[in-house]
Amino acid sequence: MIGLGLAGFAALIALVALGLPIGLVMMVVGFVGLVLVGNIDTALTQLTSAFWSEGSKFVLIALPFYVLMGNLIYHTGIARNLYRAASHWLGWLPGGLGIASVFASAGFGAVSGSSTATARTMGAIVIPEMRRHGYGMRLATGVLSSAGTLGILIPPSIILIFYGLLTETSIGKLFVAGIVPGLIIATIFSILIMVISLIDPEQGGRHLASDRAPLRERIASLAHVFPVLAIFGVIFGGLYNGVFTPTEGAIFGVVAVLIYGAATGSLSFAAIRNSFADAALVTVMLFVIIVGGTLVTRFLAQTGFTGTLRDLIQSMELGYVGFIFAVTILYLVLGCVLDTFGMLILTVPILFPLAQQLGIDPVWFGIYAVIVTEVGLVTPPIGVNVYVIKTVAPDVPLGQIFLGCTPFVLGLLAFVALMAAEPSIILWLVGP
Amino acid sequence: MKALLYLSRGLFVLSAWVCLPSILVVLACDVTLRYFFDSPIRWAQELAEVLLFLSVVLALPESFVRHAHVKADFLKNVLGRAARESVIRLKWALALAICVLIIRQCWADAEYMLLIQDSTPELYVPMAWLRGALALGAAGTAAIALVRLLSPRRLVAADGEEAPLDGRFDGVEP
Amino acid sequence: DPIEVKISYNQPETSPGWQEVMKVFGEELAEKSDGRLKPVYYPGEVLHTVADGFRATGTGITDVTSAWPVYQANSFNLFLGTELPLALPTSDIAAVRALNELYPEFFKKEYERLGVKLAFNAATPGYDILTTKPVKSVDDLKGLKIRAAGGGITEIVERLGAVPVTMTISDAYTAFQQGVVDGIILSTADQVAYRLHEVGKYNYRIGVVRVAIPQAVNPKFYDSLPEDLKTVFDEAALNAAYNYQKMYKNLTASALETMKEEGIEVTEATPEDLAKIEKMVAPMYDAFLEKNADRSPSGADLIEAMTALRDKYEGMSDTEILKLKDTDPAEGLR
Ligand code: NA
Ligand code: NA
Repeated sequence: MIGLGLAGFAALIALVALGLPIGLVMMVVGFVGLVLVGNIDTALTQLTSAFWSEGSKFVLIALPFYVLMGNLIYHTGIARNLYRAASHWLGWLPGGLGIASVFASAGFGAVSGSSTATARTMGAIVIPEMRRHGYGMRLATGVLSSAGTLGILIPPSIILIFYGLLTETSIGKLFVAGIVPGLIIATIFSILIMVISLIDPEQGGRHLASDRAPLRERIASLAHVFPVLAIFGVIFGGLYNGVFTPTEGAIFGVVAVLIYGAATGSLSFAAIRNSFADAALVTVMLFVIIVGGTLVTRFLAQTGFTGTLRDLIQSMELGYVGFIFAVTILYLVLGCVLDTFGMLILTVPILFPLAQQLGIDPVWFGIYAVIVTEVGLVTPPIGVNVYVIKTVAPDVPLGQIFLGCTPFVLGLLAFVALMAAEPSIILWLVGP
Repeated sequence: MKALLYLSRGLFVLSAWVCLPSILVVLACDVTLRYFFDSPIRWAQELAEVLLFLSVVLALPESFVRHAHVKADFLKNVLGRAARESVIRLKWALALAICVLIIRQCWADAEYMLLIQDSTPELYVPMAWLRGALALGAAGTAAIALVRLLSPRRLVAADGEEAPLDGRFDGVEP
Repeated sequence: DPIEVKISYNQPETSPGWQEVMKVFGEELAEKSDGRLKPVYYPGEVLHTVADGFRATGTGITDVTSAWPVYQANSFNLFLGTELPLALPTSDIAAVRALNELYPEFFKKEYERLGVKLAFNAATPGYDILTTKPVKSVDDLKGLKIRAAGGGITEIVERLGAVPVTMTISDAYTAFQQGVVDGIILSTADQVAYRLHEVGKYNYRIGVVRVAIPQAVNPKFYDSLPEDLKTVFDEAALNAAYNYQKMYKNLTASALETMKEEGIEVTEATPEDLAKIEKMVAPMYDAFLEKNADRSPSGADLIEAMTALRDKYEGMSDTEILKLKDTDPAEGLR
């Protein structure tokens, strides 16, 4: 039976590697596996009931609506204004525009749920600016590819919702837990940019004193931060004052952006329509993976594969540090070829119970998993964020962009070491 | 194919522009009534869940039409064109097989559900109808997969990706 | 060759329900059959969701699991009578005894219509109300927003003058903490299991309703057992039913201990309060009687039988009732 599980897992990896859709592959492998461990009737029953039970989960509602909110934001021009404000205030530092883009990404993360969307949106705005100011493209593309991580850590966050769905961890707690690491990582990134700019002025671009905007203009630019604060405030104010739950918060995030769009005239009907369509597509795309993952998990559980693997890792007596180290290596390897959702769905059902046995907090593990899987978005050969940035900087060779990401990957890993040594960094805001 | 694309498009309109906005309205009303008037709508959450399910299953065909999938494509440039073509055909074959199985099982489920009068708790939406919606989404996908599978033309484009379906509507931001 | 028995459960391996009931049930099957029955364990919803319990058991995805009418409410009629307020005895042990006695005549047909057989009955402890605002009598509930699981419980909350709010249990903690709701109606044991006592400050103990949580067995599996193994199954199942109730009894006691340590104010409803509650929820009985008037046996027959059992066991101690398990075991469950 364990052989069957192993074969199923191998088939899964092989078919995914061929480039077939991950969700479809998981459904097929899960279904065939369930036929083999049970019979055609039980497997068929599992197939349709997984659709209903996963598709009618109330918490899943957070997914389309946070995606929708991000899509709408994309059309409003909020991102450009944010960046302008950040550059007015931070532009004078060494590598100042890079630092500005980090904080603009963090700010944008407060209203966007996705890493790639954050990288795409900010990249399209910032990279031409940085080029104009003589920044090295290796630094510029590296920063922008990596800053997507901030989009996912600063709540709201689609990946954290996905993790919450997989492990039944409170999405509200995950959201709160993401804020501090997001800000620390933004700081780490800023320090890295300054250091790089000081060591290698080629990358750091010109920063002339005359570039400093007059105080009045700088203060005026802060007005553009207001809509972001307002929308973020609606979501978190609503949560903290008991108006709605995190799931319902997605709805009000969308409502807030719609109101902002209507008030400023920055949302066309077509933009709204397209945003809805895209949200529906992204949801069905992730949903198919969730259903497929459910089927595979149920199949593997019955082959004893999951249990054996768990026992195996347990018998290695890795302890906390060893476990985190091993899992980080695993994610770095998987991250070469898989995207965040694929990695989480394949690993979390197996690793999460192990983490729990080691006494690791579910919220902590969620933040950890999100950060290490995010690394995969900027490592070769497959790094989705790098590819996205490539589309806004077509002349920069992929190798240069990956190289530019390296310091920030190291920065992320340094933070992982920090949070492993001091878990309270993640948990102190969350409470019990 | 044209008719199928219209069907897919129609189901997608229901999914994206009817179901999702309805969820928005229902939950916004529910929360407002709950917070300000202490009188939440009892069936709001249930309706939202049903609409979400509909939204997801009705968007299935369009997600295949637009190739909206999460996939790893690091072998894309390693595989030859003929191999890519086979992978694409394999995708449609697997999609067809899974969808046919789903339709078959929806039928069996619906029979059972009608027998036991299974319905959602507050609104009494028959569960058999919801299985019907799933079957509809699967049927649309299966039909598209079949046509694509039998297509005599090459499905792989010059860049190694799958060529777009003929005449598909493309109104979404990249 | 030993016969495999797949035992699945919604709660994780570490939960008391698994440790003290389901796993013990499996071990008893193996032991009493001298290894001819071989349990295979699937805790933690790995095979199916708890809402799919009937389907999973009927089709053989599993052999024994939770199959709860509360997730299929519209497929049941008389069974819903058990969820009428204050319908079952106040003792956890007596409650399952009553369910076992009522099952063959009133519930069996409905339950088996869903394609399963009963493995064993169980019921949650009575539901109490945990709030962040002071509640010491039923009048204090007026206007409070209370999270309720739906169905009959939602209606009870409404009839007690509070505002029922539906939400998933995973959202409930945060919602309670942030004040989206002022309270939660749940058994005291489960209030602590879901750590809601970290938020709530007042536990108003009314035990107003129990939720029946029977476990089902795949009929093909059960019918295929030789007679002696059927007997083994029946015995182990009966023990499991009482183990479930003992577990809950202990959990409630330790939950109350925890609440005491954490300074939560626990108020037991007075007889006058309970009488008042009974009056407030009376229309639910009328509706039930009307809806099930033409059935045979009718809703009135069930209410009469339930009331008789409640009164009978109210006068007996748990030890006495447990003795009945051996002298007068449950018959006709399968
Ligand atoms: Na975010
Ligand atoms: Na990568």
